[in-house]
Amino acid sequence: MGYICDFCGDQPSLVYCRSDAACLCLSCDRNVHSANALSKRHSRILLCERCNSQPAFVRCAEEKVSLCQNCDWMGHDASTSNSTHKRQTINSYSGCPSSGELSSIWSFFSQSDSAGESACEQELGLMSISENIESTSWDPTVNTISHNSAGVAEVNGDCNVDKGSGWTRTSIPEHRPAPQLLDQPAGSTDTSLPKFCPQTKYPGLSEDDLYDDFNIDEVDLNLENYEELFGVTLNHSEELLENGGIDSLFGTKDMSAADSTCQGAVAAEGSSIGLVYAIQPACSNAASADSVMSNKTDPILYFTTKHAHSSLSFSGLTGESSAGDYQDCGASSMLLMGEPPWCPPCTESSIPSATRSDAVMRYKEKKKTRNIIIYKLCVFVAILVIEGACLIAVLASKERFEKRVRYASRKARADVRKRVKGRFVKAGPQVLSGDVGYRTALNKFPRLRLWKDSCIRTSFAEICLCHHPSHCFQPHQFFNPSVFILGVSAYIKAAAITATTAPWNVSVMGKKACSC
Amino acid sequence: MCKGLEQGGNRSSSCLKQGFSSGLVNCELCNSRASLYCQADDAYLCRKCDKWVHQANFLALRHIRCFLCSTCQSLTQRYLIGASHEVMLPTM
Repeated sequence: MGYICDFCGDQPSLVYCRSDAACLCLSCDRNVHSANALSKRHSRILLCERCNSQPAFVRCAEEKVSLCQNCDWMGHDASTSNSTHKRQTINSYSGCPSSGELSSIWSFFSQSDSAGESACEQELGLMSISENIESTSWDPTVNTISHNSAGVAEVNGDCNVDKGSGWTRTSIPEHRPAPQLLDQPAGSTDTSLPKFCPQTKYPGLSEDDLYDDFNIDEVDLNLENYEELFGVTLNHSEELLENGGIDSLFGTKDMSAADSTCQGAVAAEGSSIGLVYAIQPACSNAASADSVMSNKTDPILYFTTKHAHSSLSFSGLTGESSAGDYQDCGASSMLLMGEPPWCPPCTESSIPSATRSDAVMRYKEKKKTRNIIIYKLCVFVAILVIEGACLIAVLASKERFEKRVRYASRKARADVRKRVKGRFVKAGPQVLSGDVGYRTALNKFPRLRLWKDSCIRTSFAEICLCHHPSHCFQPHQFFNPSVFILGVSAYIKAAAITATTAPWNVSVMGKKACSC
Repeated sequence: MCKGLEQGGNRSSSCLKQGFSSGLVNCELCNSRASLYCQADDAYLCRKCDKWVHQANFLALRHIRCFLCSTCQSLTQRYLIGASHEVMLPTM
């Protein structure tokens, strides 16, 4: 029971279904109770507007609120002037009435559906505002983010979390080196996150903040990763230039291997949505680094003409699994067109083949070890990312603080148990007045506690007699008026309790059960 | 299966014989023999209809259904919660 609908957890609850024991908003009420003939018979009633936890009982015309019995008693206490307020009993309804019909049943019922919808729209508007705030707040941390804020805002405006289209849209028109890719995942995580926290503004912001910090670290890591890879590739560029055509072969093999591992890693983690965005940059960096390296086997001429090609291949890598094909095409085209532009290195290919094969072997070894390091790093980063994301999700989620039923049988029992004024009562034979009066007397007169163990069920006459244990047999203290009044009031209370819980000997379901 | 006879021979008085003269309770949706009673819905249901009705949404899944004795179709102390979680709730 609470302020939020039990079904969607989105809108505030308005009605209470007795059969389902659930608070629902109007739309969910309509959905749930139109499902089948049995649900249509459920009787629903308005919720108390004060406590939002009990079904409303009366409507106070002066205060214009619907109140449950408790709130009614509390608010219209006999001692205050409110006791003269006119109260009208609220009826329940069943079936699937529309808002108009509900208005006719309850004359005070306003069209709150539109209010709910406008609240939803407001929340969406708030979401987009928060997204813009975040995208601009990234500027000091990552410089190149600002370039993409336009693209990010555009994607946000559509509320379209289409990763592939989002990435390709900004990568293809801009011929930038790979750092732009790093911005992209950050931007797309930015788009995806607000979708996951549509509830209210503040929890969304807090979650996004957490994600922001998290992604900043990720971006920095990727930058370092990339520069390390870049640096490595630059060191190898001279060797690669010497070993022209074979390197492209190596390039294809390694690229396909890198792609397969990246795709495998992506598929393994693809189930967690927010993580895919973060992990792909790591993989794409590895693969793109390899592709860059293999592309760098071409001389500078190729670099200028094929820079667009490389950026296209980047986008292909990051977007789809056809990255392998892309790279293979690139590599094969390099092979085919490799000869003419390689005049400068051709002269150096006259080195004897023995030393060349040695160099090739050394290069292969270095490349293998370097690749192994890259893969290990990727895996490590991926594991860290997963753990971090899980932690953050758990910490930031509201599930910790929501009502959770641990044992279905206990809940079932609790739902079914008799309650008096919200408290559980034992349905067994109620102990009558003597005990009740005795207990209250015990609390009021501490000396009587000494008698508690010995006197199990004493009548209040005995209490009157023995309330001063030290003066037990003083005849002139035969009758103490305060204790007598206490006992009488206790009698009355006990009688009232037993009267209200009279059907205690009826079984759980309200019908007599045979013990089959 | 019916242990009612042991309980002081109260079976005739405590067993709820259905009010119909036919003595047979039918499922309210498909009119076959009923084997469950849902107190929240106040309906007698057969096993299949119960599954269909109460697996529609999670609110319905919370209903506690009471098994009916297969001989006399009166309420037992075996209850069904959720999809298929059978419990014995003690009387209070």
